[in-house]
Amino acid sequence: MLKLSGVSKLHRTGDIETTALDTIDLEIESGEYLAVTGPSGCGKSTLLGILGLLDVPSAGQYLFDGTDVSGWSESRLAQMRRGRIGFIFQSFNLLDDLTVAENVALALEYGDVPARQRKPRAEEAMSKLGIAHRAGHRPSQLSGGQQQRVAIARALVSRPRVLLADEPTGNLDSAHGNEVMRILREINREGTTLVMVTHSPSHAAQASRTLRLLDGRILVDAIAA
Amino acid sequence: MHFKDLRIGLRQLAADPGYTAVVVFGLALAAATTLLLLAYLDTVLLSDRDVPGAQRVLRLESKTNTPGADKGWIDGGAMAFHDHWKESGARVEASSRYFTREMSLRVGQRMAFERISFVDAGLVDVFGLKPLAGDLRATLEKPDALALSARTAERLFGRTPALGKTITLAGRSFTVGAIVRDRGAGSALKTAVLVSILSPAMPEPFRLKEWASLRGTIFVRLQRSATFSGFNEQVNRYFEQTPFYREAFPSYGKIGEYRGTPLPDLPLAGAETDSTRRLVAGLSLSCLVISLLAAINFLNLSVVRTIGRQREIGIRKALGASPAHIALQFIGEAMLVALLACGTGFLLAWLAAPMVGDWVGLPIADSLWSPARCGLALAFGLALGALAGAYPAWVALRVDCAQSLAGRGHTETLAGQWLRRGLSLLQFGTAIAMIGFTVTVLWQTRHAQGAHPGYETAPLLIIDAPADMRDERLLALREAISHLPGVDAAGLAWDVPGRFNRNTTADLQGQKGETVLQAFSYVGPDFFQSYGVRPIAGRVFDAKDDPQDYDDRIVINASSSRQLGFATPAAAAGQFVRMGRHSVEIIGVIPDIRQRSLRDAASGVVYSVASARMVSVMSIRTRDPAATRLAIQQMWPRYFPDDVLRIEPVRTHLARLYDSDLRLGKLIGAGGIIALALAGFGLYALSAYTVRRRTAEIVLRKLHGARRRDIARLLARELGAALFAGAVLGLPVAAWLGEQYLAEFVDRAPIGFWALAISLLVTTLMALLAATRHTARAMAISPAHALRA
Repeated sequence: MLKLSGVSKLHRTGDIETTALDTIDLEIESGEYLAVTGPSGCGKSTLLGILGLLDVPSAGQYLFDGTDVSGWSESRLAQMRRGRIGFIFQSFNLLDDLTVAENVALALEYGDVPARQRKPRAEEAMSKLGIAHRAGHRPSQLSGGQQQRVAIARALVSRPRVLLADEPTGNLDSAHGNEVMRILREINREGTTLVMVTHSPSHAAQASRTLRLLDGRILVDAIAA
Repeated sequence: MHFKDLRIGLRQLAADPGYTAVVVFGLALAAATTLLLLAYLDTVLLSDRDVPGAQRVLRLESKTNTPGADKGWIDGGAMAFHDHWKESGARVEASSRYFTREMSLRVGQRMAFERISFVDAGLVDVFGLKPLAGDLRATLEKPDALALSARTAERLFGRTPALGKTITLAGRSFTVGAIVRDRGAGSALKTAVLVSILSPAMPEPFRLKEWASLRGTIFVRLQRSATFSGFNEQVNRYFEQTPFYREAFPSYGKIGEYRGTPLPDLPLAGAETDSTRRLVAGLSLSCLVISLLAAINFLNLSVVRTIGRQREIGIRKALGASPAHIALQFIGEAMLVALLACGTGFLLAWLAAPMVGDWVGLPIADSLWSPARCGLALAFGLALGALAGAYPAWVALRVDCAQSLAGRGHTETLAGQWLRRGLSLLQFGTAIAMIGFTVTVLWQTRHAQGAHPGYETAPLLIIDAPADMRDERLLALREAISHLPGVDAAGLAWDVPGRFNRNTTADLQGQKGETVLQAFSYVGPDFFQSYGVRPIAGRVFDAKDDPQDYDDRIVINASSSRQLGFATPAAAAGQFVRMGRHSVEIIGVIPDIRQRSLRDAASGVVYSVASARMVSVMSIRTRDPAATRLAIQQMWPRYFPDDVLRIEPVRTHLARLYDSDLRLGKLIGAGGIIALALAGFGLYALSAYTVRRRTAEIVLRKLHGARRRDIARLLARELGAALFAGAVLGLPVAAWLGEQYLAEFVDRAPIGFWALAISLLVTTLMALLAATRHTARAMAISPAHALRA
């Protein structure tokens, strides 16, 4: 479903050039649960950004669902993202100016979902994540675990085929972290492709496949027994 | 862009009231100023837009080319032309003489003071006037009928129909024969009361036939085939054949010139429109500056805010928002702010209209609301919002989605930062320039109003009488007033020295036989005593020795004595000189007393007791102005029962000379204060942004031992540089503007560099005030707290 061939990503600051990803070849099948691990600065988040069409490779080819998106404009990438990719972040990235319900429904604003269907879809997602009773609250009024549930609900509301999670438990205590991991497993079981960046070996062990990066290269690509 | 985006935008505005207030109020000031400017321009420029074929309607204007006379065009000319269009060859379809003056009216027992316009029936065709009631043409053909404007009729008769009612004017009865629509305050034609120019109430009927008279004018409607240049040529050619022109001194050459100015051009290109042009320029400048400063503020604050919203932008992008979505959202929010600002601006304009109307001398509040004008102001506000929102939108588009979601800040480019710094400097510079210019205008106006006119003004009262010296009632009144307790003298003249607005000259022969042109002033025998003016040589007129109309004696001023070639005033006294074709005796010389405003240099003036028909202004020197005024009010109806008493201190008359300067000063001053406030807000935003941008640096410096005053110095250096650059930009502009303004004055206030120093001081104080809060915040940053964050 996602295929990277010889993908590299260079960052340039003045005369200094750093390699975030170095000639990565990677194929992720539909319904797979991939955990990406590695030390800080190894290129995990950059890889996630490229997979999520938030960033573009400096070299190489990226096929998203069979379509070569290399060299696409920001507008075309945004169009491709809509409804196809969901994001979950370590710091939740919720907007404090919006209520929980509005944060969830925000993901439907740019897609093709008719306006009258947005509210029921958001309510459905919130119910699924057990936060419907918090619909009118602001994110700052919720606990960390609840905020991450809202973020997951927002990621799921557009029913994406791919879910990208960047250290989703990084800001949570272990109880809330385990709860989030349980939810993500369930989502994956329902058929959503899940790519998760994590520092936690125990959380990585729950994935069907683990990728270990070092200095922008794939060190280990292991399928769980 | 979605409606929800706007709702979110509104919510964010409500969550940040400080930012919202600064941005909305700044743009609101721009919208209010624009609306007021449009209302003013509408009143000034478009009051006569209803006249059909207005381009073919001309007002006759003239200028005098004699040496020493004012060379500017005036809105007057010989009304004698009216009877000579055919001979002149000018292709005139219709014409009307026009003589206007404020006069007293009586309706039953009620007195009123109204502007009366004496016209011909041809006015109906010239202006295409259609009466609201009655027969206007027939009314203007009758010597005992008059027409009222709708508002005048309401003022005089209330809700009772005015048609057929009787009004007393100049002691005669007139019947109201027609009601006409009120014209805009800026119209060239005053229609409050229209009376036939051939009626016995016409105050100066001799002017109708005089080629030398420039009081009154003529409006003409040209035939379709006629051209302006052809008209001007024919009028001037005919004028040069008149006896007045031919008999003038050949050495003067072309003594006068005429032109017809089309009705639409009169407000700005017509004669005597200097003050209007100054006001239009002043108001436009204020409007432009305020709009520019408000837009800069909006832009600066929006960018700071956009940078603070990177995470939101990142989320939106991650959720599929395209660049167009993001741009539209930010521009939409900017438009929303502009819309709010326009609403607030309309409210401000409504509140400020009476005050601004007073400053510009026109009731602009009447023409404030019209769909077209409001639409135009709204479009301007929205365009300004969209323009100022475009840069923040561009900054938003440049936000790196992946970086911002990972919490790694992205700021605007270095070029962008410099652009905004440059705009802030522009704000400073503009504020400095406007404050400096305002100080110059107000200082000079104050200087001019307080300037000594050459006589003591404090105990002097002035009566503008409704009759001249030929009227026994005026002489009897003067006599009665001169015997009132506390009154030292009561004199008559044709005007008040200083407000002198007549342009009569006399030709005198100098000591070397040359012709010397002098200003000419008619006075009564007690004039000099009433003004407390003593001769420096010889004597002044005296009622016993110099009876009325005794025209072979003159008094001259010191300038005249010099210009005529006398070595000293004493040498002039008792000498005989030729004035025109007669020989006159200089009985005395007085010091120069100012005959005009501070814009005009002192010139030679000749005073004569001749021509009683001109003399109608009474001056009263009293030790108790209040009691004298009361006594005059009581005795006035015995002498002039049909006229309103107009009595004012002479200082009031002199102050009016600088009304337009004071108005300009107030306008520029208001603009300057607003500019200063906006620059202050801009600096406030800049210092907030500076502190935010340099927080890490401040923390590190503190970690390494920097004290609070070191941090204050760090920020002061950046803001001081901005202020210095603003001063470099603004001070030369302030100096140039001030010099341009002062160049018109012969007598200038000792301003020197004070205006620049004051503007710099005021702006520095404002800068300190605006930067204090964030500087204090930066000084108080706790390194531990900052590192935890």
